[in-house]
Amino acid sequence: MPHVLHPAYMDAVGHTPFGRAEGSFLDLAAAAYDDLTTRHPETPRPDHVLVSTQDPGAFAGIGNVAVAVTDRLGLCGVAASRIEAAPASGLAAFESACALVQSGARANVLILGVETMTSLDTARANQVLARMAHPSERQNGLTMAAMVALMTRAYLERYGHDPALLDAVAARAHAQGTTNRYAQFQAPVSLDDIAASPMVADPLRRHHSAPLSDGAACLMVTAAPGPVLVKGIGPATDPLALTHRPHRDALTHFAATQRAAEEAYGRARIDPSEVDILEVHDAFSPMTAMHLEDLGLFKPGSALPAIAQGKTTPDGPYPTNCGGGLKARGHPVGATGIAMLAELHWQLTQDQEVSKRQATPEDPPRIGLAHNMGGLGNNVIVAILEATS
Amino acid sequence: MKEDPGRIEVGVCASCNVAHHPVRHDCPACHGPVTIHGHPGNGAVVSWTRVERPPSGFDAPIRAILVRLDDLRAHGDGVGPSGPLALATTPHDDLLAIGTPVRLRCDDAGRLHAEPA
Repeated sequence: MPHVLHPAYMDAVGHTPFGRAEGSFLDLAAAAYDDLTTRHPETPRPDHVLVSTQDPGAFAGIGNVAVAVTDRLGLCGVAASRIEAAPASGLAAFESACALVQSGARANVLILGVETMTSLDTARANQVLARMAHPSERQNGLTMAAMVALMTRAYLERYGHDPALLDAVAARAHAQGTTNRYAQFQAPVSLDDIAASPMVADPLRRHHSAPLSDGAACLMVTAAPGPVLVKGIGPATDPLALTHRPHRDALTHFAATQRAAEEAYGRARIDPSEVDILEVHDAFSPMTAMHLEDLGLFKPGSALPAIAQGKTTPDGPYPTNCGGGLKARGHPVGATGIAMLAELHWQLTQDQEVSKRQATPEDPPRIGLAHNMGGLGNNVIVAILEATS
Repeated sequence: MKEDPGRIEVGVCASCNVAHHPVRHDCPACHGPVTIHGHPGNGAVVSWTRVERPPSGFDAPIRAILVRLDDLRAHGDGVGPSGPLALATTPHDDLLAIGTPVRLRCDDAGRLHAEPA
């Protein structure tokens, strides 16, 4: 494993409300950066801008997006590029920003994730998102929800779980959304409402799926010591098509998560049991359980009932998605990974922003883990962060 | 015109013998060279879904099944899964059950369709 030359730190975050935005793609990007400079007026001018966005051409009709954003932010002159790894774009940009700092090439890298998805109707937006899938899946009309439904049924069957447990996972996410003023859904959703929501792809209902969202979030990665140290990042890919995955557990687990986590834990020199707080990619409710198992925090098949029993609440043993996750916070795909990092930044620094959902306040979290997934588990990045104070 | 309309083709790795569908240039298990073999299309359902909200251009419902195709190897060597996975659709609700034996056929566009075995 190559060595990091210099440590990188995460400092200064900005966040817009997630949901249906009034403004344009560039308005949202500017609003996120305004929020960062308002919260952290001492922040140095970035020497590099990385824009994380999945499909601004299809969703917002925007090209040359890195310069469009950098120009709008009043930062023209510095290096700017776009990083795209489907919905894992946020952590992919974070890994690149850290590499720029860890190599000594840059001192202050701004990463800004932004997506506007609600200007398209749902069927059209799902068609854009379905471009992530392999042609053998797309040509049968199978959406991401359909492919996740196939994995979910195999998972429920293998471990003998009641599909009603999925409702409890979704309700838990919405309970956390009530604490997040940026969340797309800030009202609780009852188990009955979840169970009565329309079937999208059996066994997945509408309320088991993250919404289409507009939103932006940003943060600075710095060489100067900051409040949160980047301890280790692990990326991994897997074949585009589900049927091409040669792993024994390919229908019930994501091997790319397992491999990304192994590298991240190795670089951070920690054991999974040392993680105090997590942000995992719950684009669909059953994924929360799969991810917690693939990250090594739960035995295979055991996370789904554990979530329903409250083990992942902010005051539980495995605080996970305290800000509502993708399900309740919203899922503007290019911004999601940055929003995960923002949540962890606030949690690890006991920021006022998370006062209503601070994890284990009597023993504040020191080690945080973010897990960001692109496509149906074929591009996964895991980042491990540590509070420095 | 194909000699056997509806015949399924699977890829088999010349190095590790693992089979896959749809056929690709390299083996997804070891990146070894792939040879193309015909397959009778027999297998069993390992998962299924009924898509009630399909994307634009498709009619609901879409009945999709994942099938574990029968092992082609005369002498299984224990490497990899017992047979390739394949993704198919079907008009038959009664095939939507794990373990159901099915027979797949391939259309001219390369899509797989499942019928009762």
